[in-house]
Amino acid sequence: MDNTTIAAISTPLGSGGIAVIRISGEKAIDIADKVFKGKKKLKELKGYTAQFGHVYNKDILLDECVATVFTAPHSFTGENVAELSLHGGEYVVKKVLETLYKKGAVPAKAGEFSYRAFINGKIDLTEAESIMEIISAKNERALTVAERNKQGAITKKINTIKNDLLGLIAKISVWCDYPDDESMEIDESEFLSVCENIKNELTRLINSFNNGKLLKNGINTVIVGKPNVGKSTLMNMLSKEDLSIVTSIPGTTRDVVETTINLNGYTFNISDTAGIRETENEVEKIGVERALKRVKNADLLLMLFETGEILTQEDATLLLKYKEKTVAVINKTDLEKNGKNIIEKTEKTEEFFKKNNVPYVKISAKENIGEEELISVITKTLKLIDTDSSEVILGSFRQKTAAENALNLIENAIGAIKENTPADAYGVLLDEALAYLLELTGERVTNEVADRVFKDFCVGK
Amino acid sequence: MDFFVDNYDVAVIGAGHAGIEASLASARMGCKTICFTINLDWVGNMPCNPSIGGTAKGHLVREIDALGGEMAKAADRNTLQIRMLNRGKGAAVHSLRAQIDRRNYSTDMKHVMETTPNLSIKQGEIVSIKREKDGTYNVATALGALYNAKCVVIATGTFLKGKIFVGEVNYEGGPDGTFAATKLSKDLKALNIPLRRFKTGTPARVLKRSIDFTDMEVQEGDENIIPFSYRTKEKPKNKVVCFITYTNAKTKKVILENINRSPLYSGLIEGVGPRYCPSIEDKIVRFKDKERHQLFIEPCGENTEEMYLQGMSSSLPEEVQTKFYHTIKGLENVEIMRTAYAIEYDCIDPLYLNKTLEIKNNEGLFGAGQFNGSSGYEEAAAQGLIAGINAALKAKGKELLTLSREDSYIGTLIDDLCTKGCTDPYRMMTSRSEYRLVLRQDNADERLCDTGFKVGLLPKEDYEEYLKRKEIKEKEIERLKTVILAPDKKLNDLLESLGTAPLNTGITMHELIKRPQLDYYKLKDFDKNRPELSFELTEKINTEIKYEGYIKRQKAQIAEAKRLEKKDISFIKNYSEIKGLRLEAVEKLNKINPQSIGQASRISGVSPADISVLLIYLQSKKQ
Repeated sequence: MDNTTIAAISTPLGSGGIAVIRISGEKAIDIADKVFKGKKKLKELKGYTAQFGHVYNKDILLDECVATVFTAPHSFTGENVAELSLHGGEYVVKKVLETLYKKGAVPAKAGEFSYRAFINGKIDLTEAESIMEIISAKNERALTVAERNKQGAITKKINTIKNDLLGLIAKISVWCDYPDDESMEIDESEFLSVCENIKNELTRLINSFNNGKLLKNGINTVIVGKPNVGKSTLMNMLSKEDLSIVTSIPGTTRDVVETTINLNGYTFNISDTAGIRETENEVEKIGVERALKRVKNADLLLMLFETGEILTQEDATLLLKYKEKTVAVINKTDLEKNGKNIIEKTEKTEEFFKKNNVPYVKISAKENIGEEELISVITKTLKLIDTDSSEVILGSFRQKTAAENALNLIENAIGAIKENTPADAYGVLLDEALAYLLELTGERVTNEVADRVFKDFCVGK
Repeated sequence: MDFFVDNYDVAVIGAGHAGIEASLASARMGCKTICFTINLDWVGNMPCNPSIGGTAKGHLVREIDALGGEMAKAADRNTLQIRMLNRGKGAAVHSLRAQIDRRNYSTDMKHVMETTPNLSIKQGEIVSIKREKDGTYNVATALGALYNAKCVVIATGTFLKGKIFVGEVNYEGGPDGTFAATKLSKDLKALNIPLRRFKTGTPARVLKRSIDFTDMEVQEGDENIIPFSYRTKEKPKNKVVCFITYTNAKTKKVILENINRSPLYSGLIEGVGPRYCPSIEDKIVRFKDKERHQLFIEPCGENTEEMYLQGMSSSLPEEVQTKFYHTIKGLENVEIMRTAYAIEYDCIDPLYLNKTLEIKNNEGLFGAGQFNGSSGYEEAAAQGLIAGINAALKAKGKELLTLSREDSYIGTLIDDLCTKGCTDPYRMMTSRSEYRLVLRQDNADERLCDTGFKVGLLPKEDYEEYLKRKEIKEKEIERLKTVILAPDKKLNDLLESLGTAPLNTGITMHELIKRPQLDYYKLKDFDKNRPELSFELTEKINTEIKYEGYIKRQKAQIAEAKRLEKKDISFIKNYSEIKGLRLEAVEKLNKINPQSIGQASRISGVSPADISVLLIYLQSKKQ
């Protein structure tokens, strides 16, 4: 480790009312004193205290400032830290940073604050990973999950699995080392049940990764339907803004329109597509192709129908092809009042959904009816975890890979036990599974892990 | 007054199991060697179990043999009964154990030493050891005889400041009625070698005809015998049987009523006893819920009526011992010939040893056996062998030998001692190794004969025999891959009777053996060209085929571990200069001075975060 003092902005540049510049290193407080002028020198302050004052470049006043001082090792990085809270103007921040660099600080490299915190034993690897998630969290729920992981929820969860596994490994050790003691024999049924349990727990964790991904990156949602069934209106209902042009002329929406909305803690990236239908219009043709591509890559497909509409062959094909991620929406329930005929047709369509286990809801986007039910059906279909529950969510690909490797070994071990393989042999599988779990929690360190974790950090945290 | 006798390459203090291997290795490697013992009638004595081997210990003995040591051959020559333990379990945990005629073993070992060129054995207590200006050592006997040696191996066992405890009685003394070495500790301390106290104990020896064997379980030796040594031509025979009986509620009551009279519980003994070889009073106190404890009755020799009571070591007063032995079924009238006792002794904290067993900051001085904090004859012999080899290499000015966790139980034993240290006498167990599927007792030769030959200890003819053996094995495994079995009624009947699926298409013998229900032997009738091989080889072939997938997997783990073992950090002299290490880690790393990241990661007190710091430090050094 070098002895440099680093500085960088630790709030998003350009936006927000306040910008915080963080300085960390042996000389952090001395350097801060060179730009900050208050009642007292920052050097004279105790750790964990703040002082109001001003920042200067030479004699030119740059901004008002609240400076907070942390002394080593009681800081985020474990080093001396000074934080300067300024008004958020981009120009001011740049100027202050420039001044700090002139006075002896160096720009922080990507992830360097967290890296130093890790080096100084303030955080462990999984916590470091979680900080990374907090930085990139797009909404509140993702943040909660990341916070929870930072507090060691994954480690706790893995520890219970690990202890079960250790119990088995210990039994094998005793079995090996006490040859003439009949009370040390191995009970295969117990081994099987513990392994099955571990298998289920790991499977759940791995599945949670997908959820974690949806939480972190948002749910890519595509709305498809025949022209003029109310795609844009639905989108507007969900987003509560006028985003698409809503008219009653078919084919108005030629391009994919995107908006991001937060629902129940998840971020939905919604695309309204050009109507998927045969067309001679060149402009629309391009729109249709794009729409189909979007459908394929989407996490969620909302297929929109009009009350009284009869399903076409193409509709059915599309529905069945993407059944796992599709929710059918029957819009314009307000039209039901127009006659029995319409209701009967709708019932036929509903029958098809029921027969094929396609989840569906009936709404009136125009009148803002059925939004809640729609969200609940979506949650069920995508098996979205209630982020308010204490469910642990694997946050990183690295963790998921380790869990998958462990699961694979446990499954092999189950097979081996069922085949009456001697315990010393399948013990190898259990040992290796344990090693992967230790890797997951950071208790076993390999070169690769440390590299990968810190490579992904961004400046300022 | 002191008088000078002679110069030697290597001097060995002690002629127990460690001292013997050290002396023989050094002399056989061509070094002028002298071995000192307090009593020449007790060379290679077994003051505890009259047996060699056991789980993991049996592995050590085979490894000693593969390197060119003596213990395995001597055990085979003096075997009373031999068994492969864990035979019903997986091959990785098969382990040899033999009852040994202890007087014959001692006489035999003494004779081997007497007839080995370059080796002198001398009765005498070493009372001083001093480092000379030229880096050699002068050792002196109690009679004032001075010997100079380039290297010294300390293998003092339980003799160093030995103290015997039986109930309230205690006195200075070595094992089995010998006297203790009371003076040497002072000079060792003067060499800045920190000493501490450990304790161990042994049960009573009783008169055979006073035992009623009627209701006891009999334990026979193996029918198909595999000897300890690869080099033993004439297989040992089973001459005796052992017996099993159990303690009961009455035994427990007698012991608990008198527990305050045990020097362990009254506080007289300060030394720490072996956790995995506890005394009977320890077992009763620690495992309160256990109704009975197993005990084995083992003969001490062919020409003696003394029987050993395995599992019943004690330091309770003699009258209490008599009383609780009499509560046991079959021992109601037992006559004690030698009373059980505990012994406390000086030993080194092994964290002050290098993996070559050289004592840190004392070049040329080596430690082995109980002196290093271990327990057991086999553990002692294994270390004695490595210390002896390295003392000889050092005397010759050659590079020293280090075994690794990946190649042997010996390497594991030494790495554990030098890296993790020990808080009680260290006993080898299979669970100490993370690689027990690869470190099997049957393949010790393939793991270590090359090393034994290279250092100049394993004789050429033995090495060539090993190469031949290996070739035969490999040929047979290859042959089995070419033997194709077609679906046939007789074979399918057999398969179905054994509970496995009949064949639909052809399959190689090699593949079929892998099925859990089958093995090399069961398919013999369907293999016309099968060569006549020794039982030992067929066992090995069977294991290698059946465990192939698992062995491959573990070998991959070993390769992965070796990457960290190869990351050299021995050049780091002061860990306090590396920023980010926690204080405890700095202290431990500075004390132990690990060779590699792998070794550092096994030090207790060094956390994964510290290891990451070291890895990142190495990375930054590279850039």
